[in-house]
Amino acid sequence: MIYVSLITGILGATIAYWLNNHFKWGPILGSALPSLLVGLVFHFFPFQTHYDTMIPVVFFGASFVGMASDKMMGNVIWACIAGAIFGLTFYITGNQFEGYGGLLGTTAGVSCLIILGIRVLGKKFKLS
Amino acid sequence: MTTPPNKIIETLLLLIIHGSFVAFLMLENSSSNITFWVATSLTVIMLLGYVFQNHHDHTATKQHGDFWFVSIATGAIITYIISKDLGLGPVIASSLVGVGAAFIPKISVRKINIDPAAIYCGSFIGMCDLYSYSNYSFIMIASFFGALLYWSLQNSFLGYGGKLGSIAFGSVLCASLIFSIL
Repeated sequence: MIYVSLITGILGATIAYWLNNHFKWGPILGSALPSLLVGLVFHFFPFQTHYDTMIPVVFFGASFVGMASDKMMGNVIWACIAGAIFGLTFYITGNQFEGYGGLLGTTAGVSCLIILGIRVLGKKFKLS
Repeated sequence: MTTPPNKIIETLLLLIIHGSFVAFLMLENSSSNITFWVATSLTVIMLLGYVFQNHHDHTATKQHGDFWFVSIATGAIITYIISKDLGLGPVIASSLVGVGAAFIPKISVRKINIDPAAIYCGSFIGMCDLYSYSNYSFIMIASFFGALLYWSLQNSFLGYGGKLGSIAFGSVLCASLIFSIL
């Protein structure tokens, strides 16, 4: 299950990041449109597993990571890593905050700040 | 529009929101050593991100608008209706509102300055599904706090992913606190 969460997180963040920054769709459309498509697919054509609920939620949350600008995120590799961190955090938190609006966005915000922290550390130790 | 708070207060506001989230996460997982230490390590790295967060992306889309409370409340209520009353669920509801909001600047009347990001932020509040609170008065109070936070953070953390969701989460926490007191 953690692999599904990680892969979905990476996909959600990367697709939204590409649409936002490279195709210039802007952060809102870049996040909302792919999430809407994924949500509709799993709603109307369910695979009858618990992933039918989980995958759209993780994809939607990870797409908030992709709302970050190029300048803040750096490049698409960092967006992938941030998406993976989102997937991992979502897996750890599970359903503990279920029903709280904004939980996914907060997790995405924390993931982005972690990326910023890693990049700062990388510069300090000449890793990037 | 009045001037928002200074940079330190803006940072503290978001830090409190993220701190509440991380504290809850760590307390809930304190029995699991690995999870606890992973969360602690990530928190330390996140704090480094906060310390060096003044690398704003000034080229990022700035938040501008005239009716933030109305925009946030509208986004929240439409999302709630689509999610609960139409039964399509929070993800489809919020992303549908987001897609609609993204096209607003292109079709709106020029004199009315609506911020699509505020509507999208409101849609996250509308994703609420707290069994004891889920009603329209809760959404309106959360939207009020959302507008306050949105105004406070309008010039900070530009270009950061998850900012709108963090605002929504903070406003839902504030509304929950008010409702639990009442």
